[in-house]
Amino acid sequence: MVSDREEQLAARLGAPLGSERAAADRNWRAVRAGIETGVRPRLRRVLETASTLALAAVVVLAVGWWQGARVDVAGDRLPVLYQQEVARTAIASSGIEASLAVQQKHIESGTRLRVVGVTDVRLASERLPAVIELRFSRPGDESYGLLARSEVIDPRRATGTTRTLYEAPFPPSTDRAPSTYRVWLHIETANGTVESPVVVVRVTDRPEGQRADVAELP
Amino acid sequence: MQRPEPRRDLSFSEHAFEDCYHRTFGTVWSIARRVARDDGEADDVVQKAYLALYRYWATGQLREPPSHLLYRVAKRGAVDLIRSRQRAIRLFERLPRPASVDDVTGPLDRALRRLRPDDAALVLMQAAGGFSYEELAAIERTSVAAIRSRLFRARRELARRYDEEGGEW
Repeated sequence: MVSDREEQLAARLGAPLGSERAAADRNWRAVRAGIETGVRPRLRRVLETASTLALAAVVVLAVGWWQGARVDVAGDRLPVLYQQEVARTAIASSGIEASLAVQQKHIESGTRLRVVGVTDVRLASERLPAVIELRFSRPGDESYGLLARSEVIDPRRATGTTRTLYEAPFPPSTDRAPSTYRVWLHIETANGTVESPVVVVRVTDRPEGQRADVAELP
Repeated sequence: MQRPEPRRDLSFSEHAFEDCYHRTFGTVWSIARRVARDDGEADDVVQKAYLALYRYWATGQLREPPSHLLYRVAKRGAVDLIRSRQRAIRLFERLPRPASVDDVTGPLDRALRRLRPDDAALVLMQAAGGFSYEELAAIERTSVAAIRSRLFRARRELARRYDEEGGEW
């Protein structure tokens, strides 16, 4: 049981002190200063670290872009950094200048990545007519398939050189298992047939689309 | 006497912190100043309490009403102050004290400082904040029965010490 005497003492202890108002102002200034010098710098350090990391990411992306890398947003919304060009080969022969690049890129406004063979063939007029084929085969197959075929009959330029450019997508993946392809350019001309070295790539279906990398033949 | 806490919203903002400061300062100051030798010592207790609250609150570590953490830290500061004063009192009691607006040297304050530090701080917190047993139990993170028992003994002891110090009724 609490006595009146004890209540009286508690009331006296609870009475406001005359110094309260001045102390409130003085301590508020001190607490604010303490926050600025003690707590805020930690926050500032966090922000500085985050800014540095963001800047480093921008630099990496910029350098990657400059060197042919691309950033993509995958199906599950995760950013993916990828190199656009996977492999390249070329033909340098009399009257023929041709290149074949295997790239992973978006085509025809598609949202998913596709692996494509990009060819650039220049034929001198004395090589015409010609048939350009982008051929592929699976390891172990005797036969081959065509990713693209083009017949060139007449020179299209006053310079006498005919240039043929096209992008040929690889077959769509049917499952998640990687598929290995041998790919090469085959050009039949009026005065002989030439072929590029074979490029071997492995194509894998990922959430962001088809991805390719250079492979070794089994 | 503290103003009631407006809501149980623990989300931090500078405005919420400032509002908490102005709402609770009277109680925290009273706890600190009545056990401190001078305003400077009381300032230390007060500032440590508010900076601790800011650190916990601003970094999202607060899991209870801000005032509860604040009063607990302030009470801990007061307890430490009483203990350090009890050790130092023989050495420094003859030194002149800085001038202060408050007279906290009367029989009641002397009686308070002769209590066990934890009891003195609890009595002060209850008197300055006007808390119920339930509120004190929540702040102290103990049971209502324990608070009731401790306060009963402490207040009876305070009255006895007050008599010994020649206090008048």
